[in-house]
Amino acid sequence: MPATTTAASCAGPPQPTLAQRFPRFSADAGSSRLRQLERLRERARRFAQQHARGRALEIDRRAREDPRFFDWELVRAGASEGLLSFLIPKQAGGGGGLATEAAIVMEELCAACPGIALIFGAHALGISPLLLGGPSQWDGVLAQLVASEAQERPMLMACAITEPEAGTDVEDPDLLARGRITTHARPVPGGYRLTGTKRFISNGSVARWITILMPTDPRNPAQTWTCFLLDTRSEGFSIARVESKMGQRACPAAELSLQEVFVPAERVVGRPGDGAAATMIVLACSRPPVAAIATGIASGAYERVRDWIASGGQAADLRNRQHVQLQLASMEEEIHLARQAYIDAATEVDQVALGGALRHPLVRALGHVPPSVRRSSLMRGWITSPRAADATVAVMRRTTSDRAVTRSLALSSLAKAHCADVAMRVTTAALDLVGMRDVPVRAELQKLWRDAKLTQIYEGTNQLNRIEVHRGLCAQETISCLPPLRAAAHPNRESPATAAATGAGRQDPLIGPAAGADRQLVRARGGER
Amino acid sequence: MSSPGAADLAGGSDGTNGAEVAAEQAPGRALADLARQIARRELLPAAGRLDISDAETIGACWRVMCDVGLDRALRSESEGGAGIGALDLLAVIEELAVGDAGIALAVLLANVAFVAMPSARAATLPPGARWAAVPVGWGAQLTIRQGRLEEISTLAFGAHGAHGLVFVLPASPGDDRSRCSVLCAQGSTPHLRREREEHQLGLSGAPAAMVAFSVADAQLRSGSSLDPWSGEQRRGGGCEAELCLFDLMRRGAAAIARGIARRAEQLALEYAQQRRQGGVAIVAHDAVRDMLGAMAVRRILRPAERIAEADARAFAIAEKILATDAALASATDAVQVFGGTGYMRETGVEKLMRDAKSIQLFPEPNWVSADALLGAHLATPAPWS
Ligand SMILES: Cc1cc2nc3c(=O)[nH]c(=O)nc-3n(C[C@H](O)[C@H](O)[C@H](O)COP(=O)(O)OP(=O)(O)OC[C@H]3O[C@@H](n4cnc5c(N)ncnc54)[C@H](O)[C@@H]3O)c2cc1C
Repeated sequence: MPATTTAASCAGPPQPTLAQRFPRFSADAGSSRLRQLERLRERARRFAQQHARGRALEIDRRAREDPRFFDWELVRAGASEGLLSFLIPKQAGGGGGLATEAAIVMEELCAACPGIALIFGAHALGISPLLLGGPSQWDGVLAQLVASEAQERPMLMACAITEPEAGTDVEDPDLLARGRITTHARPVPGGYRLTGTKRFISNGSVARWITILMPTDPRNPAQTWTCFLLDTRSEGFSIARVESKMGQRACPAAELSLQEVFVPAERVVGRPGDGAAATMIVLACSRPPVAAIATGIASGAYERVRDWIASGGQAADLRNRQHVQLQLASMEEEIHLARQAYIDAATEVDQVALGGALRHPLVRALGHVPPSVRRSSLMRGWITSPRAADATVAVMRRTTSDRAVTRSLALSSLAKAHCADVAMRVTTAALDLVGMRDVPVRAELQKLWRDAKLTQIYEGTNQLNRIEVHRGLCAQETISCLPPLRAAAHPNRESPATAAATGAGRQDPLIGPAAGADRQLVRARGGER
Repeated sequence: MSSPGAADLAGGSDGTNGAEVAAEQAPGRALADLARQIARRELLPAAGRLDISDAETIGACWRVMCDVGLDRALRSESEGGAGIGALDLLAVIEELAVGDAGIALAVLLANVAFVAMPSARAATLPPGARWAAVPVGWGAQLTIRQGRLEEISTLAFGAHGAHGLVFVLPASPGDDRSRCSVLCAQGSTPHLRREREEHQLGLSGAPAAMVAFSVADAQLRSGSSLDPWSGEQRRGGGCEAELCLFDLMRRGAAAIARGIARRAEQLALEYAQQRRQGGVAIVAHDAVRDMLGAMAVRRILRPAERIAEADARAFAIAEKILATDAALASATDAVQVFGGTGYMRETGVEKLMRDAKSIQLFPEPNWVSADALLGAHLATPAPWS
């Protein structure tokens, strides 16, 4: 039956506020937090409208012709809106955002261009392991990132987990134990030598710093999986290739080659051997923003096709078709539910995995210490000591539990898989409405459709995400998501710094504390290979 | 006119039994075998370059098609064709699509163009000339003044670089349905404007262009001179031809979709046996098996080829909807089986997904096709027509 609505009623409505978009979340969040979020969203939208949407197709085309193409101008524009620092703790000079903030920014950016959004998303992923490092990370690279943003010389980060032989396998500790891991961080005096290949790393070819995970003992990857902060200017580091992708092309995906790259012991993020647990928490935190990426793609496609139909012109015959109205209504419905899924997951992970730790008196007290004092050698020595690393873990374990994080990870995975499917359905349906009509919106929709497919793959395939949902929600399992209270349960778990603290390193003043520990590691494994 | 009649599309409606048909179709089957080899030897290795519409590669592939008479296969051998029937052509197209769906579409469009134009005209076209049929259906813009069709503008696969275009209109825009079902336009005619489609999603072996054809001007001109030949109309009996031509395009789309789905399944199955995750080949994981199983089901459940003549129209539409939906589902799953590797262009899997989405919209999106199907059944015109 033809509908009788007028053009005016179909015209693009003004953007709803966050309170309208997330009624239940908003009621709980409180008005000041909501105002903060709304301001952040406004900045993201300004960047998206002024810099991303208009250039999206052109950048996509250029990156298709040359996958190494990268537009630093965009990064500078995003930096001027604080998009590189909003996740960095306030103590390090950043915006102090968490998963909720990341999700809200990502939806906004992705509605304009998911590829451009991924530059900022991959940067945020690169930062995430540092956030888990607690106060020990505030005054290092995080502070540098803030300073470089302020100086309009922005630096990007990336996170490298995936390897050629292990994609799904490095996203789950049980699978990691069985995976074919080909990277290796070999303990050496003063630190580690990293060797191997990491694949599909977003921002990999443009990042200044990369958080990279690999085992210190490849025979025992799950227990020795360790996160390092890698300086991409290090000797032995190179970009083996930049991939030619189906979509999200504005952000390059690179293959990283590491040949005995030296990383000093103090650039171990968290404690050695805690990498698998850290990965679980990072994924719990990063999947809601990825769900928001997918939701943004869906809402971008929906708004474009809705507005095109409302505009009449070549779509005049569609406006009153009931089929079209039902399709638009389904899109609205799917996007609404997707939003609730990601905001639920983000809220949960903020409260459960990170929020408690951030509110812990010790962390708050450290936050009140002026940076100049905190950066004094005495204080910094303590904050970065193994004991402080143990204390960070202890705080986490006191403020949350394996079960709570497992549940949160499951909710995040649920949102990610669901929203990714919504992105595919909505972009597909939008293309069906436009068909082969020669209208500018078609090119944008085709791009969003290509972009959408990636959301079913990265941050763990949807299949893996649903396995996580089964474990955490259906089977009510508890995964060991938190690092153990004390390090050194396994010889390779012992950090050089921990060993130093226990006196091991003092035995050889020439090599220094970390090196002494490394020797211990070598001894424990029966000599250097 | 040697157009594929409704009886041909309907298959055994003339009462022949299967064995007789097989014997009759032997040359066609040989051509399908040849097409399979061409797909493997010529098209698959070139698929990456075809995907960027590399003109040289398209030209080389097209020469191979012409050498074996696939460009005008429905025409008799004396007319430079292969003299095969529509069903055989569909089998050939499916095989070609396993190699490259864009080239398969170009072959389909050329064949539709060659059967749509008058024999005398077809005979004058030099071998190797690439013509393309342009379905003027849902989404095309028609300028009509006082019942007269003045201009057609539409986005058309294969139109870029084609020597000429044959516009196929599903129903005449004016009152007189028989007036304007087929319009031919040589590429050089000044009444035809073409602009390369910059953002072609898939099927790039048949490069698309935005086409605007000033029918009224061309008709005036063709009245005084046929050189450059343009704007020639097919009158009378046009409606039957139009039904068949449109249905041939739909069935061709279904054949292309089947080729895409077969290739996707083949690649996914191979990869799933090689790639190891969780200590085993990924084919051992139910998550992957579910996708591979669904692909097999979609491939096996292909519709019967032989249907009653009266149902030919509805069948063509239904087949197109089912086959293109299946191809998109299989190609999307194939990318998923490949994980991140599937998202990279070099593996050629994501191309299948883009090709599948594109063929799903040809000659119209499936929701519009379904409307036409109801129209065929209920004898009510689709709301958009
Ligand atoms: C464009 C892009 C950007 C990326 N960015 C980054 C990045 O910045 N950093 C990073 O570290 N990684 C990144 N990745 C990697 C991404 O996270 C992986 O691609 C993803 O985890 C899947 O791994 P894989 O590609 O190796 O697929 P595989 O693990 O090989 O999976 C192949 C198939 O097997 C299935 N499968 C595998 N194991 C199992 C199992 N145990 N049970 C059931 N099914 C299974 C999968 O679901 C999939 O269908 C990126 C990938 C892409 C494509």
